[in-house]
Amino acid sequence: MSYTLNVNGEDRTIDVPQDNTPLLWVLREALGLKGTKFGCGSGFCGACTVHITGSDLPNGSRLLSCVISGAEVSNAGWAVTTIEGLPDDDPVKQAWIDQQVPQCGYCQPGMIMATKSLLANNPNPSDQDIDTAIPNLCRCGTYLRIRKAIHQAANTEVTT
Amino acid sequence: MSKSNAEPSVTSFTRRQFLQTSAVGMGGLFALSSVSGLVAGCNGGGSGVVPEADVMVRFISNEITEILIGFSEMGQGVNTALPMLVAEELNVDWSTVKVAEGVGSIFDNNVYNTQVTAGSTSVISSWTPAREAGARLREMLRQAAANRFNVSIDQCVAENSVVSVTGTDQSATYFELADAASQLPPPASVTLKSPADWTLIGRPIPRLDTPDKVHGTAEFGIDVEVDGMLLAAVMHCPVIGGTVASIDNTAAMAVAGVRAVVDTGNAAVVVADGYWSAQQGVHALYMESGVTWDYGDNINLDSAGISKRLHSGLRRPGIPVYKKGAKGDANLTLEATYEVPFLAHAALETMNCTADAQNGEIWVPTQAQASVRSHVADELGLTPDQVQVHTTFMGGGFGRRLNVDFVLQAVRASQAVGQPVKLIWSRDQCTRHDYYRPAAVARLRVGINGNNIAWWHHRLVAPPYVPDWLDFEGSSRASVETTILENVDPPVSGAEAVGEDGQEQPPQELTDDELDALEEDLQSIEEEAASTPESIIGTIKEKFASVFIAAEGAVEEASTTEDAKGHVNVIGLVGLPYDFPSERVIYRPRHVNVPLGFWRAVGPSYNIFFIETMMDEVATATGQDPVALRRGLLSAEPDYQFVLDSVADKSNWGSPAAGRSQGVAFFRGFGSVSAQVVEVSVQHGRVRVHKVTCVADCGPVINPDIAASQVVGAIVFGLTAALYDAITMEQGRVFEDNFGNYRLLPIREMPEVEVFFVERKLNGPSQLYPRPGQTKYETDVPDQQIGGLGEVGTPLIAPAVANAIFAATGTRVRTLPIRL
Repeated sequence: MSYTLNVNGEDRTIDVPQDNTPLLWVLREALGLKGTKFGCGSGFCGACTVHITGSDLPNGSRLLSCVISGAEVSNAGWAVTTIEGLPDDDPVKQAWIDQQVPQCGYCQPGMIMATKSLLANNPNPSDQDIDTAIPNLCRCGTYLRIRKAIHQAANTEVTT
Repeated sequence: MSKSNAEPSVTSFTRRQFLQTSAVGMGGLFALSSVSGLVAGCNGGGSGVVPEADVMVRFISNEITEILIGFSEMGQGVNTALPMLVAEELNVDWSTVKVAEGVGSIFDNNVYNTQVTAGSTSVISSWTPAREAGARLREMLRQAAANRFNVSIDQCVAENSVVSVTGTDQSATYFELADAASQLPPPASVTLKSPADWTLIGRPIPRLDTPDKVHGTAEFGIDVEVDGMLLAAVMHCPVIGGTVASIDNTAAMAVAGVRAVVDTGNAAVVVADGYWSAQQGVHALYMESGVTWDYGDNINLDSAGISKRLHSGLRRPGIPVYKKGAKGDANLTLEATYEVPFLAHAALETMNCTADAQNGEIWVPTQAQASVRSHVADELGLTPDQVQVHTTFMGGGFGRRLNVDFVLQAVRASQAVGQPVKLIWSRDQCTRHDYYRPAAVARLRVGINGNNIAWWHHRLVAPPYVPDWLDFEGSSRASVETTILENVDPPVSGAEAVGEDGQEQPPQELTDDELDALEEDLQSIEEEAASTPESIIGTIKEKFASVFIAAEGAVEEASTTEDAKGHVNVIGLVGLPYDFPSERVIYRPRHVNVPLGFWRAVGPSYNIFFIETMMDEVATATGQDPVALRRGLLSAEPDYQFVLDSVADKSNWGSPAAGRSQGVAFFRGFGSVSAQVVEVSVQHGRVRVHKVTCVADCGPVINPDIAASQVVGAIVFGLTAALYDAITMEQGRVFEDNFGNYRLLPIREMPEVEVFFVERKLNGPSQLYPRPGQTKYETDVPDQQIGGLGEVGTPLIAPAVANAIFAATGTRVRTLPIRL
């Protein structure tokens, strides 16, 4: 089936053989946006986290792109933002670089997207807020630096 | 990474090809050889020795210095640490340094003599050779400048990628000098900088791979794209070890986009235009029972039976591993039995490989390029040098990517469809078809006289396994494994018969005393083991010597008995740092039909849990402080005592925060010494780990920021296993499938972690890094040994937490994962 999907500010025509192709694989294979990662395929790990915007959605809405089809997102009229859609000088990305967060790096695009989503709703989160809002999993154990980077980004976004 | 049909940015270097390349000229390319200790310039200069290199250097422009390394970057930071070693002596402008993958068989790990990233050895392997190579290259550049300007080399100063002539305004960049330098002979010897002169080593320099990983542009294996590539999904036989009997591909082929269903032996692989189509094809095969399986021998395999079988090994004679001193009298004997489960690696990036069978080209996140080359060559009827392996970034390795099962599936699928194939495992296939960390059972007995340990007796029972990433010189893993398995777990007598279902009849079990008497007589055990064909067991022992040296140090390797040297499971058991007057280590291999592999920290991941928990039991039984007890047993090793004293100091040992309890553990292994103190609280049977304090002495620290990450990460890895995880089996099938029932530690349960490293001083006592305001790790002691760090954090956390739980509750944790 063929449908239109707005990704990173552009309307893209999607043509995939399976109606139920998850948004994750639409992004990765149909659009070549491979910063969004496949970790569990079941909504546990958050490596596939992307943002969605739409008139019916609160600010900072996010999706686990492995458990919803691209067609559903298209039908809902939501626009998708991936890690590639964030500017290189995004304060969260910069905080991740300053704090030297990544080890293997595989979960980090999802972590960054989850963090952007958190900060959209809560510009100055406490550690407890972070615990609640970041369910994403990191096998390398970079959580302490993730926490530091979130606080740094919160301060940057507040002051800029 | 090279991609599709574009000209690869990295040429593959076999030894033969390197010389051919040299002949056609590639000025400015240098193989830094650590084995021969020489630099080979590519224009026919250099030593003339065919190189084996850890690193190569290519001066691409004044702005880009490319350092090619053969180790796999899986998060541990080797892509930054190794270039730092070369650059330190080369005096190259660090801002020009780019790292690239070294492709080809000239890249060897000097510990194992094969291209592999394992056992915390990358830095151990490269520490001196990489610096010497950088220094030799610097000297060649100075000589090239001396020749160009017709001055003496003593007048030429190499700094910041420029050689300038003192007292003149003459200078040339490294890039400008590279062609000429590559035709010069390297100096026979070089003097390395003294630590006080280091400008890179010891500094927390940002990792070279961070920006790409943050922007989502780093290319992992799963991201590889090759022209004409198809995607593939995998369904293994649900029963471990089972195989495909037949495939009816009707249901799968009816799925839009599916091109083929391939029998790869242990799995059905569905090849399609896209991954989701392939996965839907797998689903269709499953729903319509499209694959008939031969379940093999494991249909009755279950966790309870395996546990029973391992426990029964405690009553059967084993292989004497280590023996020290006569067993003296004791007025108190402590006995305890411990058990740990099988564990999966759970790397976040699922297993994957892209194979172009027609061209012998592989793109794969692998820790074992040499093994991939030789296995793929066997599969395709090529020589290893004809197989080109591109190593991608990998979303965690932890030992799982030492295996080549997923590589061979991709190769077979590519061969079957005549096109390149990228094969990706689902999470449930990763969890259910891993090469698991072995389950293990141990019985420790300790004789005590007054406050002193009179003797220490450690009996380990675990299923044996072999490292298939070592080169067994023509023997396949299967033949080696079969040989070792058939010969190390012999029945006690003809009366014992062991069914494949784990049911044993009749149990002919010996008492501790009977076993002690039998095992004390080494001769009789050696006779029993003599039936093992010498050729294969000899190869294993020889190869394993390096494993032991990496993990334990040469002294311990030498004191391990010949019979025990082939066994991964005894790593961590031999030559404990504690000064026990009498020690016996016995290992009883017990065959279970489960695929086993290397898992971060390998043997010590369980052996240190057993030992350090028993140490705490001794402290309790004798009324001693757990730190003081260990300290007393380390009196011959002041450096070890310093680590223990430091961790006690930094953790406020003895004064935990209100409502919390502390536990300690100590470990020597992987060339390093470390100790941890944890603070936990236990409420309603729920364990909360609040804080971990770790002191590690790994010799000089190359990059303290990366080093601290490694230690924290290793602690999280061990803590996750200690708190949550076990792989369990029923009817030959693994129960756990995804992160819902095989958990990873989430951020909300992450403890505070403080890591300190030891700085040795020429004049004065050692100090800890970091101190307030300190921006650089500082040591002034030359010629220090360097230790590994990737795994040392893992073994300590489980016993430290278990000991803290005892302090909190009076309950001993002797089984993992912790269940109160």
